[in-house]
Amino acid sequence: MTDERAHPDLLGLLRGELTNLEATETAEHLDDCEECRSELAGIAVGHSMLTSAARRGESSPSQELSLPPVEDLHRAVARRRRRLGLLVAAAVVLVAGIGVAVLRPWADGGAPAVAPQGPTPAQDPSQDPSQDPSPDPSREAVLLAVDGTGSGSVRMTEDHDEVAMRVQTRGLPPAEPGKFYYIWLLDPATNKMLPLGVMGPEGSASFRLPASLLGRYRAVDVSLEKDDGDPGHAVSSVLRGSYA
Amino acid sequence: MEVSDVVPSATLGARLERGEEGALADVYTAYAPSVLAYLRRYVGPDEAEDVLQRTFLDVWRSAGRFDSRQRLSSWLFTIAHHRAIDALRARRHVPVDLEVIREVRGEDGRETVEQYADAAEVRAAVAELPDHERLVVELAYFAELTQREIADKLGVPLGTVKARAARGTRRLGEALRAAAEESDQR
Repeated sequence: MTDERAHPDLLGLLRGELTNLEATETAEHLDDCEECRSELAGIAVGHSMLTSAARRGESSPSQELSLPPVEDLHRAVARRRRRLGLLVAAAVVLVAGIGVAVLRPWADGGAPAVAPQGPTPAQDPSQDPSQDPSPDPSREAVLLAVDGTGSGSVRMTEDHDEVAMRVQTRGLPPAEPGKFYYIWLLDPATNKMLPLGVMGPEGSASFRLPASLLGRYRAVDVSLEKDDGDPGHAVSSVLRGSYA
Repeated sequence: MEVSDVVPSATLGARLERGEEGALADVYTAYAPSVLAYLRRYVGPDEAEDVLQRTFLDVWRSAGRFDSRQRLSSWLFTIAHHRAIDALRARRHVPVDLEVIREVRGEDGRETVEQYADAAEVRAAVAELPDHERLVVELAYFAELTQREIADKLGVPLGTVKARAARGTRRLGEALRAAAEESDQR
């Protein structure tokens, strides 16, 4: 027996690189060699997967060269982060502005005429403002249009360890057939998102959430989704507002 | 080298799920070539790079919701699949090959996604092989050279090429089998 027969070219056998004579000799060797049969089984698995993979995907180096560099992705992510940051900042400024507008007459001695809105728990207007007020279990955030028109509000009422959340939108165009509005919680710092549910046909929706869960996010996002089975957030956010 | 070192998807998936810095870039490096090849097939070379970027932006945005018990490549290709459909739908006035639509949207579409996900797993695992084995395996399977042609191209003895090709192929098969078994146990 030659060295070549002692170690037959098993991959060559699978890839059709052997002559008929070599293939026959390899077969005879395999009849008597348990070790090589085991080796062949191991190689055959990799060979099968590689052959299948080679049928799909890029095969020529010239195609591989046109892959956009990862830096392009980093730049796109940075742009998206900046955009999110600006939106959240705008929402915070607006919410703070509303809070100031509501609280200012109160500071002058008058009670606010409407329920205060803001990122912190609102005070009870019936109490003397000079005293430390107990926090109102309700708070409200404003939803601003990301692109296009529309606005809305999110009212959250704490009840022990639970928060009842009601989202009310205004001025959104009706969703086209095959599309729907969907509500999410968002943490702009990490872009972590939690799907809450589908917006009702009247432009409103209500949820009950554990308070601890709500505390791990900072904003509410409304997106326009296609009914295509994709559970991920579409690129198209339409409203967003910060509550913390 | 441990077998598990050859298949990066489980580790990458867990890093992505944790929001670890650099995970997105590593996922891109490992899988973008395969995803791009998939997208080229359906949306064409002119639009494929844009759709690739949209796909990976979605990956970045959805990373916190990725469940590492899923197969990373299947998750990636499902997102790419949806972004490809979006791109085809957006072509209001451009004729789109019906065969392409049928393949990407129909029952075959999901099968195709899984086939490409499989291929991407293999390519990512090949990239993790020791360099001397990786080069031979890539030339044998993706450049379709015979072992003798590889020996001539690299200027190494044929026996060396055969040994490296056999070891690399076997190592790859073992690694992917181990990954599949690990996935089944989760």
